[in-house]
Amino acid sequence: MSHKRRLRFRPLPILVALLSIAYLLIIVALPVGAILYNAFAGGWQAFWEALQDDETQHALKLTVTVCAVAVPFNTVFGLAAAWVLARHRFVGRGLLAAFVNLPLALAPTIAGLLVVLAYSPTIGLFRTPVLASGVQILFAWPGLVLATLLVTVPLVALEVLPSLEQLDPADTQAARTLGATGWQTFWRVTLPAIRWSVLYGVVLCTAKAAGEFGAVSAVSGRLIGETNTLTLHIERSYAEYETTKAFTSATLLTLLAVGTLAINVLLHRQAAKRGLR
Amino acid sequence: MFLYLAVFVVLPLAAAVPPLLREPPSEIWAKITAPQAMAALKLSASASAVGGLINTLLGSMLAWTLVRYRFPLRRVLDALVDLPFALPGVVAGIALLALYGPASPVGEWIGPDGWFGQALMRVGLPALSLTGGFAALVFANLFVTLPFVVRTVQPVIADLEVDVESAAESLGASPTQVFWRIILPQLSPAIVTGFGLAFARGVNEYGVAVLVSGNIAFESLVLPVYIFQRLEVPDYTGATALAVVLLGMALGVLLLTYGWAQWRVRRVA
Repeated sequence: MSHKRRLRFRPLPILVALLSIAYLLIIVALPVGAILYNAFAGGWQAFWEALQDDETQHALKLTVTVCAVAVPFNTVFGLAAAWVLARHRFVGRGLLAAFVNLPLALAPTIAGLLVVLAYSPTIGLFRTPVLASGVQILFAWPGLVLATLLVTVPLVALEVLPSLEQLDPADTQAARTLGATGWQTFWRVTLPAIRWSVLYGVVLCTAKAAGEFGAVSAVSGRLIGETNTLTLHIERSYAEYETTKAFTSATLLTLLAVGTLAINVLLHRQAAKRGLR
Repeated sequence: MFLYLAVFVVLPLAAAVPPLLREPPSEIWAKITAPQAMAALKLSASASAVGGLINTLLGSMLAWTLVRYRFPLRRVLDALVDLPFALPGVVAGIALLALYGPASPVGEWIGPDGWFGQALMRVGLPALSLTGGFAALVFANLFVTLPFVVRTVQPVIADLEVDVESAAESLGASPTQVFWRIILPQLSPAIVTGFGLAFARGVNEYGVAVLVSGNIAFESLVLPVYIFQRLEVPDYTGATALAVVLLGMALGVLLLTYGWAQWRVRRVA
């Protein structure tokens, strides 16, 4: 790169670099360090005990359940939406794109509010079908899933769309002329080519689903041992001065976030290798 | 697929309509303009604007540093920028409290008894607190919105043609002139878009704000938290009306900044 050689020793660039790196450390790196420090302040033993705690275990299981439902749903939808947006021009395409992206501008609290307004058995717009079906949505896991779904709808589609757009349509056309069915073409040609962005989309969606707080707290009712997800459990433990418990659960979510970043870095490296992006 | 969107996105959105029809417009207007709601709205807007501006400045500098300079651990720091995006708000909230809260060493320095707080008070400023109050809200915003500015500005800096800067310099332009006349005009659409994204994200933030701010009405209670409280009352009409206001504010600033950036790009081209 040509600009590397041009760098001369000037005070201003060094000041800019030092200031911005210090800012990044203060705002992002140190807080994350604080999570790990507080989780392990009592040693491995305390961390392990906090992890074995009944409430923590239940919260963890509930969050895993919510993710296990919400993430596959949004992955399949995200792939389909990205495919349609990348390959087809049709009336209402802009509208579809707008609705896919809308949840990004929606505050999580509003998402939770909307789920209450839609499915509450007393005031919800759809209270008749909800009551008729006998399924409890609010203050139960279906409500948690619905709120999480609404917040994380765009994530897979957004990550997959750019790499789908950069794919050479000649590859899929070649597969089709060689006699592959549409399904075979998708599994054998398209999916392998975009696998890294799909993986990143799925992991990001999982991290966001597991970390969802505002939307989930509006619909959960926070019944301990019933609808207390990991994020709600963290807030409660922290408020009750059970710091180790709070930071132990926070460590799990931090690891998930760091894993997401690692896959993002891998994705970019792969893309750079192939000259994409 | 349209069915999926209809069921999981459009149906809940449609559910916002009945609460708004249940009461007369004057009643709804009274709920939006209630003193506590207006105070929450103003706090949300001003904290997001101040946080967004600080991050626009420092985030752009950070993007510049990450693109133009080579230093050890650059890739690690680059990856770290995305962390606030992936890290849950509650986790970030308790982390900020543990690190900068009143019981922490930093909290003591900047508080009313610490040397930094004392120094601030000597020049007539209030001592800082990152738990409760406006400063806490801004601080929460800084954490949450940093990736949005950096990731918007970074690719544009990477695409800048260094030759143009060299040409200007060889023709006798000072570094200040190169910055104001050549670099900034090319970056301004991305910087403004980054501010718009940061503002929209910041104004919607609930998790970090609810933990860090103390949630005192008229002092540190932001609009998403107030909407949540209205929902718990329950005052569905008030909550929905304010949700529309909040969404309008986020979308309005997004469209405004995006529109300006597009206009700017087209005018330059």
